Amino acid sequence: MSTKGSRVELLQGTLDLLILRTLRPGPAHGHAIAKSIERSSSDVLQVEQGSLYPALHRLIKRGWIVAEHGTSENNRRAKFYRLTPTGKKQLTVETSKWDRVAGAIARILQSQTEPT
Amino acid sequence: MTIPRRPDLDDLDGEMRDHIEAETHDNIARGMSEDAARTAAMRKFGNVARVKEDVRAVWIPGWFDQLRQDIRDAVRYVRRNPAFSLAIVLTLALGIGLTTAIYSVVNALLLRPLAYSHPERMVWLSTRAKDSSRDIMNSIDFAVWRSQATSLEHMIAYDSGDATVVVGGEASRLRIVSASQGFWDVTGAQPLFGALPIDADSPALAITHRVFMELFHSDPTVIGRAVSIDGQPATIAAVLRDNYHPQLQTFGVIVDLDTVEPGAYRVLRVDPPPHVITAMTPVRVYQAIGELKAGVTIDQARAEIDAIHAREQRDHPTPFGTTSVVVTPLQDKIVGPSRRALGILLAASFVVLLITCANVANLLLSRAAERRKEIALRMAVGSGPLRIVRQLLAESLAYSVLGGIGGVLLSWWLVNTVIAVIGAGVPRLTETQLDVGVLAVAAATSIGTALLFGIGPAVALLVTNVHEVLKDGGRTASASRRVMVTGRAMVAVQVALTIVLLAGAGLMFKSVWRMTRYPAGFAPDQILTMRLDIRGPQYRDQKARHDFVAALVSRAKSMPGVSDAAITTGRGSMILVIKEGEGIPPPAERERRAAPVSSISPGFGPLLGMSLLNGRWFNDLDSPGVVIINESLARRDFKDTDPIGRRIRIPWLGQNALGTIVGVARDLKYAAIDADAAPELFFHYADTPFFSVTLVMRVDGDPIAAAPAIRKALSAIDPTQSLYNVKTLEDVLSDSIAPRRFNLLLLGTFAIVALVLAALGVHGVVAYAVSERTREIGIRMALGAERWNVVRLMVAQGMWSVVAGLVVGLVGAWAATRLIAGLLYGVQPHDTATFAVTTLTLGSIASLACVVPALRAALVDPVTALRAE
Repeated sequence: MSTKGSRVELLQGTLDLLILRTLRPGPAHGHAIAKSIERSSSDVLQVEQGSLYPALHRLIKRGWIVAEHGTSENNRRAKFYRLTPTGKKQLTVETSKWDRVAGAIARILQSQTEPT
Repeated sequence: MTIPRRPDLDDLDGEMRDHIEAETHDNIARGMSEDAARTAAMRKFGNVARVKEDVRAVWIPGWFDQLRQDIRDAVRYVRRNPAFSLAIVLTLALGIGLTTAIYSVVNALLLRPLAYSHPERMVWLSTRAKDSSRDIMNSIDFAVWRSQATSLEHMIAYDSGDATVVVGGEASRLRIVSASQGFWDVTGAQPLFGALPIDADSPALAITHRVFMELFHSDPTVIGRAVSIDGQPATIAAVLRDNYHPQLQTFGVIVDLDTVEPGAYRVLRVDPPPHVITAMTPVRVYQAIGELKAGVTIDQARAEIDAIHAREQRDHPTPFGTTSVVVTPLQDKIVGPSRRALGILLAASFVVLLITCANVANLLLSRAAERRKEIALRMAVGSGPLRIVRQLLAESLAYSVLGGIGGVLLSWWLVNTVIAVIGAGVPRLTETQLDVGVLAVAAATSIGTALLFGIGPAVALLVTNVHEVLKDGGRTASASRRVMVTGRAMVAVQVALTIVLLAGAGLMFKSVWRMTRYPAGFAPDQILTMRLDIRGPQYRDQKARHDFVAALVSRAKSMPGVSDAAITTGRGSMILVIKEGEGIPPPAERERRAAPVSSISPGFGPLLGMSLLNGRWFNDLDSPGVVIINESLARRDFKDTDPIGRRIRIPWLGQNALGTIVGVARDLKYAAIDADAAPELFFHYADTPFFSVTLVMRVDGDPIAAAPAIRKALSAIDPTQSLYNVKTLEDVLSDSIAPRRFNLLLLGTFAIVALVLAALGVHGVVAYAVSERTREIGIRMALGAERWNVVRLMVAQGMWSVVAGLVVGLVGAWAATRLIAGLLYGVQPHDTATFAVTTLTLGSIASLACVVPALRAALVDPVTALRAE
């Protein structure tokens, strides 16, 4: 793939956070979630789409999302994933945790690139 | 908050299909061709099977899921190869079955506690003359001990004998145990009906549940019923529960061990110790057991009784030479003699199990070529090595579970057969059963076996180069060599283990053969024996008993088919051999002066085929006080002097009565054929008070066929006296070595099983080598090799491991047979002949097992062999 160099492998565990974030506006089915993650990261974050499903089941098991049957945009039966109240709370927690970590990493990287 | 529920995982396939469909759609919308769009979508999605597995893994622990998968695969594999699987399962069943059977015997004999209230506190009480292995508890010693010892909660004397019990006109023979007070307590007896008798003066009987069922047809109104025992009236006071089986050590008449199950119990009277003890004081011989007081050790009890006994012997010397005190745990007394033999048998059964494992490993390896390809494929599609080992082990487990089930069935059959063949001769053997513990051991053995035979082939298969195998169609040289080396090592192990078993069995066989080879003139198969207990008021006088016995003997002699008849009392008592002019020796010396004595009628020696070294046999005209001694006694007590005419004391003729030695008989092992000849004396039966005798008759033709007529004719002399235990002397002797025959039977079975398995193993490895090297053989032949050379090549390959196994095995056998030295008789543990014969046997059978498949190599057609690949 020619674009490989510009894409970033997903960090372990971050996928969960991205899924929760994607589901905040409303329920979505598997393919839509994958598309949404790709689109909103301008195709920089590359998910092997299959790995989405184990992640979804992990989140169901933790009680952060639920799966329910619905109809997709092209009128086909599909499974929709919806954020639970616990999941919403968890998203806030995870987001702030992520911000702290990302901030810390950014500071370290900056201090390294600017020799004193 | 709701508990998260697992969504239906079957939806997953559809969901993923929809996902890929949607992605394809998007791609087409971006302008891709349909094929390219689908390929791109699938690539982007990744490995569908992996995703499925990962999703399942979120909900179901991976190992569980894989285990189910492994078991399913294993079952499928087992069913797909029925003949191969059957061979493995049968082999395993054999190994596991033998081990389980032996373990269940060991469990019954050694591990389970005795059926007593406090089994760990039970002790065996007796006295023993030093050079004797025979324990004798006489009523005087017992009474003294019981009146003085404080370390024992209970001391019980018991005695057992067979009696004729008449119930409503129907007579049957029952073993009746008379036990003194406290017996019910120590054995934890509970009546099912009635009340257990406690009064020694009332003729009350407690019958066992078996007798209750068989003789009284489980009639609960049996309590209070009058029966007659040897002509004496008695009443049934209680019926014991069906789980009441206290283990008692009892002694037979001619043979030491006797394990007839008691049918009834009664109370034995134990009189207080007499104030004055003379040679004429009546003495009874008992067996005795005791229950230690809580907290008292057996050493304390022994020390106390030692002190009592020493004081008693000092203060009241008796002409009966009993000296040292025996206080041992009852468990040891009852099972002790079997312990070593059982340990060895258990070890031997494990050896068979190991051989079985090696054999099954070999069978699995023979499938290696086919499996290797399958495994390489599995690895190519992403199975990890651990996953593959696990799958192979699951297969092993499937085999061993089936083998285990077969093994349990086999051991059940085996145990029942062994009990039927030999049960009565080995104490507690009849108690063998397959209980939960035994089944647990069988299960553990099966699983252990699976690991043992599965791991070798699994590893040998695993070290496989995926690339090489898939390219060459599963026949790579390196992997093939590895499998062959493992196989040959297994064969060497089998051969080595087999030779150890064969050598052991060979030595045992030679022992038993030695024992049953009788000296010239001794023909126990022609001698009929029957036992007679003389009971009833008409025989209170000794003279009456003698006349009765003399009448029996002369009647027997006059019968057609009976060429001679005589009686003996059996070697029931020990006396001190005291020569004329000697005083009673001090206790320290008595031990080496005692010897067993039997009272015989004049014809006994010649009838048995005993020959005289010197002097003469008794005759009917002998005046009181004649003695015959045997060769061993002459050697021990008279050394170089001529014993004929010397006089020794006969305790039951009077205080200082003397008897004259009139003859010296050659040693003859007519009673215990597995012991060396020991000093022994014979008194004239006219000089001896007796109540029980054994009638011996030399019979022309088959003694057992003639027995009923003889018995009937003799019973006619006095129908109130019953003759019982009708056996040939050979059967009596053969019963006496029942434990040895039991050992031989089992060890022999093991050795034969091992031999067959080893032969199969050798055959399998050579056959495998031939099939693996068919192409090579074809090339060799195409290049001009003789068929004979090819056969030699194949045989040599198999024989190398056989020879290696033989060498290692002989060293092992050399070391191992020393352990069974105690079980041998008349043969050294390193008997050269036995070792030579076993090596030769195994060597030739193994060679045969090599040659047969190797001959098939000679039949290889070079053209076909080369085309086949």
